[in-house]
Amino acid sequence: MKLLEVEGLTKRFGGVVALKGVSFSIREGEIVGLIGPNGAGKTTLARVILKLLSPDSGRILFEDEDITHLKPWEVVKRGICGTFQIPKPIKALPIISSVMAAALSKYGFKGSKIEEVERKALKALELVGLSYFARAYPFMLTYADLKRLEIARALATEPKLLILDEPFAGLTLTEIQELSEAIKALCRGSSRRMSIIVIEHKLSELMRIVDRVIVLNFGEVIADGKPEEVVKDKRVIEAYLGGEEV
Amino acid sequence: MIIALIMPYLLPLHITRTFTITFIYAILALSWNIASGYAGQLNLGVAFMFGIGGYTSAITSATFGFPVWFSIVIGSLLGMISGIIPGLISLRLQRSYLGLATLALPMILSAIIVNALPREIAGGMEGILAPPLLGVRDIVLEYYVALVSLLLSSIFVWRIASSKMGLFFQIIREDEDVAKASGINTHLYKVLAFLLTGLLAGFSGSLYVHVVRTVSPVVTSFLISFLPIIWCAIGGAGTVYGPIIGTILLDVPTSLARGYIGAFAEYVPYALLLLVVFIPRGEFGVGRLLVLRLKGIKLEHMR
Repeated sequence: MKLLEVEGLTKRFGGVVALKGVSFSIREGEIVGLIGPNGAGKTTLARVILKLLSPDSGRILFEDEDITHLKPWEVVKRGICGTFQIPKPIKALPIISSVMAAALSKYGFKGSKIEEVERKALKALELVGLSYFARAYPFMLTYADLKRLEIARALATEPKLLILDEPFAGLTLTEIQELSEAIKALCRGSSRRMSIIVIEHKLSELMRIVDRVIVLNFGEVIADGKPEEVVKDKRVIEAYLGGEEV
Repeated sequence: MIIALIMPYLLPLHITRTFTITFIYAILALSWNIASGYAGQLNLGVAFMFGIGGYTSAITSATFGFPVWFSIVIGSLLGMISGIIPGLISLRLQRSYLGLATLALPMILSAIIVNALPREIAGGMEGILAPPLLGVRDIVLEYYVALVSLLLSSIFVWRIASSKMGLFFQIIREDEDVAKASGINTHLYKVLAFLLTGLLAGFSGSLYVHVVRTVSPVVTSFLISFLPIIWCAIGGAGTVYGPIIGTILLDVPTSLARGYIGAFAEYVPYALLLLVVFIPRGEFGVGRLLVLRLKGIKLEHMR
């Protein structure tokens, strides 16, 4: 079943066309890699789906509902949540507080029991391996842990679709391997089948965890398919290596 | 706390009265602290809500003859409603632009009071007399009313701060994008923050006019807007005790000094205004510094 469907999404920044009629779909329980060279429009696409940016034209359907004109927090309530490329921790609060806020926002004005929310936040931190640091402040964490914190914050909103923006950027090889194991476990392990979009340009690690790859170049989808097919695609090689015959 | 309770019996009446006013100002500082200290929305026009509360309370009690307690309730409620205006502005403008827009609000209010409202009701430039807080003039009793009001207000702010709403406010202050991505309805909570600020500022304005027993466009002056910011900066914005500590620490000496150095004391706050430039969010707040020191956290890390 299709979870997310994007149709003809276009986004302009002044004269720059960041997205040119992007269309693709995500099925339930799938891990999809979204790759492309610098400036291809990957992050813009993520921000448009999360509604942090409004598209100029096109439609976004989530579970057959048109979410193109919703506010960002409404999109989160429907079950789409994402992380930021550069971690944005809430420095003034212990890390559990920011995760709890994300868990709380699901509920209405009255909300549920605080203990239950805290349990959910702890579970989200546990999933990414940070429960030990729950009471710590962000400055006590390493960069890799801050990236995990981003994921925990997103997980606390109990998303059906998780969008990870460059989760591996700036990490060492070991940290990348640990994190990709954690991401894999997230999708396979959870009782609900969660779909994940991973935006990356570190291909080697990505190819091992994804089911499908979508390649963007200059705001257009140039390939969509299994990882092993996509890496052989002529247009993809061209985009990555710069048009020369290889 | 005990000191505050027995103080009127130890000090001369004029100092007791200084403290009464200081406590009312502390409520104003607490109110500014909600939208700006917790939710991080720069508000340079808290005198707008203070003035609306004060004028409403004075007019309802003096002109329409309602009991004082009732007009204070009306004043606070109208103060709260007036919070909608800066609240809605905060959805469109951010940081210093929001500050500039809110700065204009008290000026507009004072222009309306002086020019648009009939003189028999609002009194124009001279203002009108407001009936005393307790029907009769009693400095010691007024002191206790102010003290209790301050206590109730700080409990109110403390409840907000430790609630879900307080947490959301702080996340909106730290990073609005993160707040949105965490599923927080930033529009709703920003307006709410200003409504709560308006409620307390209106309450403080209402108390103020009944204690000084007069209201004039002075209540919409720059000082009323800026002093709470300075008090919060000194005491520590984004905490409950900070604004109270800051107000007592600064306002009592300035008010008392007025007796010795005369009108020159009026310039002291302007000098202190410079502090705001360097510590806009009260990072060096006395109270906050102490708490962090107790937790063993260095200040640099919190930036």
